[in-house]
Amino acid sequence: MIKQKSLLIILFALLFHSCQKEDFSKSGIINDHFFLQSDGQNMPVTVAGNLDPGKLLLIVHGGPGGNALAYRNKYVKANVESEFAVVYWYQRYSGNSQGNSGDTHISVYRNDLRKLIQLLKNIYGDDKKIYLFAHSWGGFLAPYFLVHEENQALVDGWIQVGGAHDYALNDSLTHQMLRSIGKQEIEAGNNLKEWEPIVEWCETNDHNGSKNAAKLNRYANFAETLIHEIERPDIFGSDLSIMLANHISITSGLANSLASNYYDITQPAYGIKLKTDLHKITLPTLLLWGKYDFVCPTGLMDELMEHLENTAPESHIFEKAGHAPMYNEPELFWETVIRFVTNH
Amino acid sequence: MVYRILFFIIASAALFVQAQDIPPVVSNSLRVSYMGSVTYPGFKVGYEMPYKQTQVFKERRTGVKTFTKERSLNVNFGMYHHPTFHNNYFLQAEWNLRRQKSKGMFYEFSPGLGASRTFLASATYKVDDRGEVSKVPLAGNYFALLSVSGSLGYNLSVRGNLPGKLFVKPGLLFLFPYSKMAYARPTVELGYSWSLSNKS
Repeated sequence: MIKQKSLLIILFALLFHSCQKEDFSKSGIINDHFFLQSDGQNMPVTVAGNLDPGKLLLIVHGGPGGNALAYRNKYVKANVESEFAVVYWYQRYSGNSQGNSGDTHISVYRNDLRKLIQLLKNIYGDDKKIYLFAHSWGGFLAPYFLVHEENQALVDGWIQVGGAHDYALNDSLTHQMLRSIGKQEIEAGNNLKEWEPIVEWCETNDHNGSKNAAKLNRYANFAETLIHEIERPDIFGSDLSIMLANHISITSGLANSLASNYYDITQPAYGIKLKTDLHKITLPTLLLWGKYDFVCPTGLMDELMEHLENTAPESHIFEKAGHAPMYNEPELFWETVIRFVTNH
Repeated sequence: MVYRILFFIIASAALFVQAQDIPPVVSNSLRVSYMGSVTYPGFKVGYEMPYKQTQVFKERRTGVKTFTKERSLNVNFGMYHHPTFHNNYFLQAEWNLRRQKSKGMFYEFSPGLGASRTFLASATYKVDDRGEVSKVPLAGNYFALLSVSGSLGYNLSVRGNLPGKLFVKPGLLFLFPYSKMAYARPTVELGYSWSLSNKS
């Protein structure tokens, strides 16, 4: 009988082992973790860094189906989290996000972002300033969020990094860039075996349709590996060490990534022209791009500069970077981000 | 011609392999194992109910080789803990197919099915349309569970007096529907199966 009772106590202890921390500090160095539950998905959120300046950098990761904590490498922990707190949010159908199902429409992603900001303000205080840091697919989601209703009143700044605010334009620019740089590289005799099939494909196919878009995306990522001007410092630790340190489940990420692809989450984005609404944005804005970004070429930044009429966006092009300047030129990149957040 | 050769091989095999169903002499067992996945801990306890045992004799040039085929049903309860992700508790029925050599080594193949309930590893909140935040108690999900595993072990009662078996059992748990797909979790068990009578 005593044994049975002991067993029950152990089982209940284990059941509630997930004892849920509810006291969140509103100042000092924090390392918090919680979930946002929204429309069938439970999305993990890690908030880490220095809360004293009262500023939160909210990472809106790429993908869809990307990895929020991949941005949390050794460099960011040491140099960025010491300046202000960073919010690593897994979007629905990404990484460690979990649930049986849940809507996959992009408008639900936008809703999730609003809920997350409201939750952050509830936990850390209304006085905290929030800056969106949007990368790649996140670069569609952030302006899509900002131009909707009164959403931009919830945040204090927008940093767009190699963002895809216009999917159709993005594909046409990638197509052009692969062709033009590919030809230059062939003329220079660089990586002929790799460039020739890319240029040949671009000359016989256009950028329209989801199959061509997927092919262009693969070529764009591959093309970056052929550009020797892009810097690739090895200072972050391996992807595996980042995943283990942050308890990322590889197979959860895989299931979510499969779902993101299968449900073709970005498809509705092709029908949305954000440029007609960009004038609504009045926030301090920073546009950061890699010169050799084949995935989201710098032409997207040019369009943003043209249509962000009611703000004066700051911008920077990183000369030795591709689609992920935060990895290619980390010091210059993060100095620029820290300066922007500090000044606004 | 090919069919004739195949028929000959099968017929010859039948001459040299004899199998005999015998009443199960294997007793029910209690299985306990550490069940982790690379770095995350967990456990599994189960009850093994054998229902069939077959002794097989194979004639070889070196003599007669004997082994035992056993079939059993296992009912298990288990959990694993994955920080910042979830704690998962599951009930599982496994069909256990075991082949044990005369010297005590055995192999198992165990497909299983069951149900699981996850509990999210941190506080969980929801936000309504008016921006009101509330905490979600015992947040998590129910999943159907499928599993497949193979194990390698040794029956300690063959050469000694210990009434049980040691085993190592790599496998995969599948939870579904997980984000409209399935979540696969690799597991490794290291365990001991106690025989509940003096026969094992």
